[in-house]
Amino acid sequence: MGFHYNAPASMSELLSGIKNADNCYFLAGGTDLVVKIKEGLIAPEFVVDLGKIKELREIADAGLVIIIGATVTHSQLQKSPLIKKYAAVLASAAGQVGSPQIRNVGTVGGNICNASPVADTSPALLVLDGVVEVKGVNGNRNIPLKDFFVRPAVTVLEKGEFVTSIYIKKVQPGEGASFQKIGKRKALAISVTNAAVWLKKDGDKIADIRIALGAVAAKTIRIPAVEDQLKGLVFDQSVASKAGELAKASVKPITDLRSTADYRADVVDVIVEQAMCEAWAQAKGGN
Amino acid sequence: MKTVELVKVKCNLNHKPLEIEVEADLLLVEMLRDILHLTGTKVGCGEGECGACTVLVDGKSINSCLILAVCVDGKEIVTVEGLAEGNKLHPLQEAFVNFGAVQCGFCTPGMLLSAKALLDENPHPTTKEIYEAISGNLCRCTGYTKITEAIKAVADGKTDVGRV
Ligand SMILES: Cc1cc2nc3c(=O)[nH]c(=O)nc-3n(C[C@H](O)[C@H](O)[C@H](O)COP(=O)(O)OP(=O)(O)OC[C@H]3O[C@@H](n4cnc5c(N)ncnc54)[C@H](O)[C@@H]3O)c2cc1C
Ligand code: FES
Ligand code: FES
Repeated sequence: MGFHYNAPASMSELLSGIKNADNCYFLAGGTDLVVKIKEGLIAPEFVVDLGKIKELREIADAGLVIIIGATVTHSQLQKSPLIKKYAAVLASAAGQVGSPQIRNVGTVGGNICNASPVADTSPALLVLDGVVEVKGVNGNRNIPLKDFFVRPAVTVLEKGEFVTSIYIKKVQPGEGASFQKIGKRKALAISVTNAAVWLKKDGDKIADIRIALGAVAAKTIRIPAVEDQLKGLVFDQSVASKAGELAKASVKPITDLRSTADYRADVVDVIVEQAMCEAWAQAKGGN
Repeated sequence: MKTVELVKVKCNLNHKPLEIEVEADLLLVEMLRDILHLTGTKVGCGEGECGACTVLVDGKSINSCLILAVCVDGKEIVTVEGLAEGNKLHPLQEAFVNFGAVQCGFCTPGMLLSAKALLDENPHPTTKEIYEAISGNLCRCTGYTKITEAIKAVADGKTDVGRV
């Protein structure tokens, strides 16, 4: 083992020092990366630590959107007054990651770049219409989060590219959002399945809706066909229950060591219904 | 064989400045235990599940089995060895003793530090907040009740009451 370690103190130092090498890895909290290195799953030649770059650690209010730095930790998200006020769904998702120790170290950028289909912030960020801001030696680009994941451990990031921040839309009055997770127990449980719903109400109708599901495909997904069937409907318990059934019918989860395909599908049904009801209650409250 | 690259780390460990050169892939817990011989910090699972390796970095509880030693450059680290002042136990240590919150003791250093992180941020936590704060620390022995009571007692300023 052994690798070259570098901890640039500023963004310009980082950009000038980026290695285009195949096995150059960015290190944020390391809660995924260090485990992979120790287990011998990867053997980096270069490790670039993002931990000393202050501007990547900040959460900023930018009017209709919030800009979340890539190395903002789950604890920061969970406790930030700005996130709790305008994106409570994300504070809730971040607050359900691992344990206090994992949340104090693990970052939102690491959570999405690790591209696990069970990542807990991914569904919340997806329903808030997250956009990933990326920098690299060849310039900058913005990627909608829904186009960011490819499959487990793989994103559309190219060699030498890193995430600087994630933009999310604030949840406005008349809108609501909810994250639901089922794991084997409360603390330190990777999701068997997770889901998030954002919706906007217009009177008693669902004017717009976004649904994201984790752990039912090779990546966290939106289900636009189901969303389209729900738009314009008058909300009541039976519509929430129908949403659950449609979501269940739209996915083909797998069986693995954490759960079976059948159980996952059943859980999708239940948690989408719950998330719909909670999001609606919030949207009503905000009017 | 690859050449081993040493990286300089300057930090504050248990209230004293420390300068050390470590291999880039050395874990914080390896630095603490194997190089500095601070063996109060334990290793249970080595993968972030049990909390036996919990230490404080800039006042926050973290798993020292999951972070590289090089990452604590410029930071303030507190291990269980840094809790007592000379022969005077930290109020949490005293309460753990008085309440019988220690059986085999393997989880204790980590529990103490998770509890310290909690009380430093939130001096009067509810029982639920105490459960939440130690949710990343497993204990095979005590059933958690006495640990929770000991932490509550410190929050209430009643360290010496105890049940044992
Ligand atoms: C015990 C335990 C419990 C866990 N529980 C949960 C859980 O309940 N829910 C959950 O979602 N996750 C969980 N995780 C996984 C992990 O903690 C999270 O995914 C965390 O958010 C990862 O962030 P990090 O900063 O530690 O990432 P790192 O390990 O630093 O990085 C992860 C990957 O992303 C890359 N990367 C990181 N930042 C960037 C960037 N800015 N640009 C480009 N690439 C980058 C790294 O190179 C690496 O490949 C758990 C992990 C452990 C060990
Ligand atoms: S040894 Fe670090 S969490 Fe178990
Ligand atoms: S006292 Fe034995 S593990 Fe807690």
